[in-house]
Amino acid sequence: MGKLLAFFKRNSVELLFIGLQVLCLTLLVNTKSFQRSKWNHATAGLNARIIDARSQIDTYLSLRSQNELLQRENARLRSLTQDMFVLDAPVYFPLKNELFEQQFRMFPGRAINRSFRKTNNTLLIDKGEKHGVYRGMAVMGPNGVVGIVKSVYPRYSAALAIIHSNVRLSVALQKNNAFGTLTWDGRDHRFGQITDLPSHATIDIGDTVVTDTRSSIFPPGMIVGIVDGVEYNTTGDFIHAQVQLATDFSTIRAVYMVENFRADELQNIEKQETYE
Amino acid sequence: MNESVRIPLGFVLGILFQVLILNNIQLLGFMNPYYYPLLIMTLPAAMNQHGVLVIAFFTGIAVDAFEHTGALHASAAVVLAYLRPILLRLVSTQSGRELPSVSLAVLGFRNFTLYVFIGLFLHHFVLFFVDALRLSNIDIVLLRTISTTVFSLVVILVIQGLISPQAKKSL
Repeated sequence: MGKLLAFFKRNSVELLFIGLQVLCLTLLVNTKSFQRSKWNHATAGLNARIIDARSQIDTYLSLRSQNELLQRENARLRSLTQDMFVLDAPVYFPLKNELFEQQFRMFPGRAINRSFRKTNNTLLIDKGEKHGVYRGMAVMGPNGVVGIVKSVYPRYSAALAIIHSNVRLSVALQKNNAFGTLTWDGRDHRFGQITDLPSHATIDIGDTVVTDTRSSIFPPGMIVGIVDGVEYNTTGDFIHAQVQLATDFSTIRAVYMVENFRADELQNIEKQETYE
Repeated sequence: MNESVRIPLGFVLGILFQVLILNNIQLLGFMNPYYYPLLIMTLPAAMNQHGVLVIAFFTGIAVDAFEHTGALHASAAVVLAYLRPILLRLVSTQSGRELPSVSLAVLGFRNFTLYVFIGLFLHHFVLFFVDALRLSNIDIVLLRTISTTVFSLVVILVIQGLISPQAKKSL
């Protein structure tokens, strides 16, 4: 007995160390129940209060990369302006601008808060009713499609990201217009899924996925992502495709609100004509 | 200031600095500097080892509460506290316990940097290793350990240079 006590006394530091480590690892393994504990609940409230302040610092720290992203987009757009093209064919009829009517208009916004690790991911945008945002408005990013406005407040609006379990987006393959619906399985924020491509469609890895003309929200031909994997379902009639999304939801800040001048008309039609 | 006031105050401020400011910095997307190991490393050299272990545990738990990481930081902090006497012996001529305080002013720039570097490396390695047990990628663990250790060390040295008046003389 004396020897045992002496052993404990001699190695008390080691025993305390081992005891604390065992406690730590037990807590780690039971992280889920630990996170629900009252103490954690209390600190979460404190944490929420600094989100605003963090957003400010966050925005400042990422200015450089965000600028670069926008600059690249500007370069791409400027290379599409009329000055960049020369007429290389005899003109048989005059091109008239009056033939075209503008259907979409974009204005800039900023995603001041965003989530990407949940199953239902949303964005908070610093543009609201005051700025002309309406429910069902399309949200684009510098790289591609971002989401759809869900609720509108006077100065802010909340949008569902396309990585939201309830969002279904009409998409098509750029090369052959084969169309399907993009959904999200809730796993990886970088990948979306098309599950209803008809089995006769030709699809390859690397194909560009764009918004479809069936979408009454997005202008057609907006980039959604790139096909990353294709799975032919032997029993069903559909092809399952994994799509790498063009938008990185972990870093998205600058967004564009896409106003559809025919939104009212389209919504009225959809209300009256029920076609399923 | 009295030591019994200075040390707890230093811990509260240090932990707040860690969770409110440093935890929002993610250099290159994954490098998050850690300042709180320094709090454990700079406890008085003659302090009871049991006390150091217990303080390290609660410091880690406090950081974990904000990061929602269970007891990940606590685990790494306890390992650091356990190995602290060995590190102190390394940078002192005797047993390490005779040092009046573990600081930049007492140890000098070279020894202090060495002490903090090894301490941070051990702490970060345990941190990323325990975290990655679910991913099991030792190369990523080592890469993260080394890069984050350097980042943390720079942050710590800059802060030490800013807040400690004696430090300026020894630099």
